Amino acid sequence: MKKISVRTSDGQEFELEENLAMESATIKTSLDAFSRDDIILLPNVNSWEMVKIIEFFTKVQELETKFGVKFMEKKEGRFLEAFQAEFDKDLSDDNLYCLLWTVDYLGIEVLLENLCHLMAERTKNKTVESCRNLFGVQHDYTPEEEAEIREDYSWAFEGPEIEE
Amino acid sequence: MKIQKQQWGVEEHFPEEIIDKILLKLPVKDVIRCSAVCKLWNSLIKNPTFIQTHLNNQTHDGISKRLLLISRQSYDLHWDNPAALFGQYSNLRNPIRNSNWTKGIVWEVVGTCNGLVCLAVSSIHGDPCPPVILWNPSIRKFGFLPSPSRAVDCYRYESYYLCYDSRIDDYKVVRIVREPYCQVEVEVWSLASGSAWKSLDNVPADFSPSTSHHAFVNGALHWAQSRLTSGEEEESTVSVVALDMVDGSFRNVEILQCWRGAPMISRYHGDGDQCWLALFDLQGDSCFDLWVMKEYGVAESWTKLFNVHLLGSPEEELRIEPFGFTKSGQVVVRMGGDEEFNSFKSYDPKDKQFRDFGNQAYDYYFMDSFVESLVLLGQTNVFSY
Repeated sequence: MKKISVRTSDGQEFELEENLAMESATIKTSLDAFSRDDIILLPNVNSWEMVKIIEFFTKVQELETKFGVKFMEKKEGRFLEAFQAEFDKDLSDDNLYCLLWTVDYLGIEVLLENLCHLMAERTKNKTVESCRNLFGVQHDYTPEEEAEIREDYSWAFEGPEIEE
Repeated sequence: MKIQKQQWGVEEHFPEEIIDKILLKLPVKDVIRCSAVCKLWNSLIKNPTFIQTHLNNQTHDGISKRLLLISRQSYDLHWDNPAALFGQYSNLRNPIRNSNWTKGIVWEVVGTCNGLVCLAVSSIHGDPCPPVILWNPSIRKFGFLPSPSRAVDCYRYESYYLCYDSRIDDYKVVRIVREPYCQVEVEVWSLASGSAWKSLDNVPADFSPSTSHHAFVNGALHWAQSRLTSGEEEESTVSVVALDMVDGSFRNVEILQCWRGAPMISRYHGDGDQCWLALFDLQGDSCFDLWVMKEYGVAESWTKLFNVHLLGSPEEELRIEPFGFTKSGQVVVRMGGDEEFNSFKSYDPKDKQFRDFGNQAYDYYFMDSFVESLVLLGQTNVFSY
């Protein structure tokens, strides 16, 4: 199988199998425009992110062999549990945030879906302040506006399961 | 790490599509809390497409299946899962109990659809007409419907049904008014148009639904009707009539002619997301057959799935009556003798066993599948409790 070469923002080069590279809509567009022999430059992708992406595809192939199912079509179910266990533990909130950006930029649909699921899990049971920190969101409500929402749905803001 | 993003010259927050994807995966309580994060998130969440997609995701997620079990004593949600013994998941606060609205009137649950619950006063009463209530327990909001055109009096009976028009993402309540020796009246109210009840002028002359049981299947409300035919022998013909919620038309659904007596209509959940029109053919007090229409509208597709009967001793004189279905294909039945007829069991056709169901101290009168949803979020004229 043909290998596609990519170079990340910090100058590292990676060789991807063609079918894997084609999972990225962005790389696919580049390949359609240019020759497959050229190195594709990815100035918006860091090398640690590329390592993670390759790790994801390797994991998918392992799980496909183990469960005998084509996981690329499936987005939920057993794959998600196995994926989460492996992928989640080494990924800090900031790293997950950056990886989401990168995978969205690269247009890798199936990995994006799984990362969104991971992000959702980290959002559950978080206070409003923690959510703002997690997503780097600007607080744009006036104190009165926010108080109104909190009063209208007071039950949603309280509970033993909600953590900082 | 975020500084790295600024090097690209990109805005600091995620594209809306990604926020959307993430929010759609959250349970209702977390979604509500997220509406306080910022104005963009609030507008994403209150978007009708978001609410509908969130609901569809919940419906297909196996973990979210619940049963709404209503008794005189309690409003409860149970796990719709035999492995969890259909145990209680949560207790729901009655939105209007002990409030200014009640004034001695007792509302009953008459239907649930996509996470909405409809409360109505179905018994005979006089003016003024207590309003119908639409309630979403998952977001703790409820609202009153406008009064229908004509109140009922001691000779008229009214019944209400909640359903959904998937073509325009609209919730509708149907009101049927029956008066002895008169044409049945049918009115419909819709959440999207909101204002007044609309009388239907196409009600068939022979429309005489058995209003105690109904089934919302394939976008239409179904009732069994049994009419005495004139003739030498007093025979009854059984038929199933449907009211289509999309185009407002009435039609008959063909049934097999072997059924005598008034069958009990229901909605059966097969494996996965299958939803079939079902009829219980009651044969005496301790036995019934379950028939399902595997292909909607095709009379030949009526299939007898199984028979349920009690193997009690004759002295016990136990009666059994179907009460509803779980999504795992079990029938919930009400059992008992002449003195007490409120023991609820689940029947598993796979092993033909009856098992205790629900809280044995409660007298249930309503059961249906339930899903947590955001419907009614962002609606005006709704109240919190």
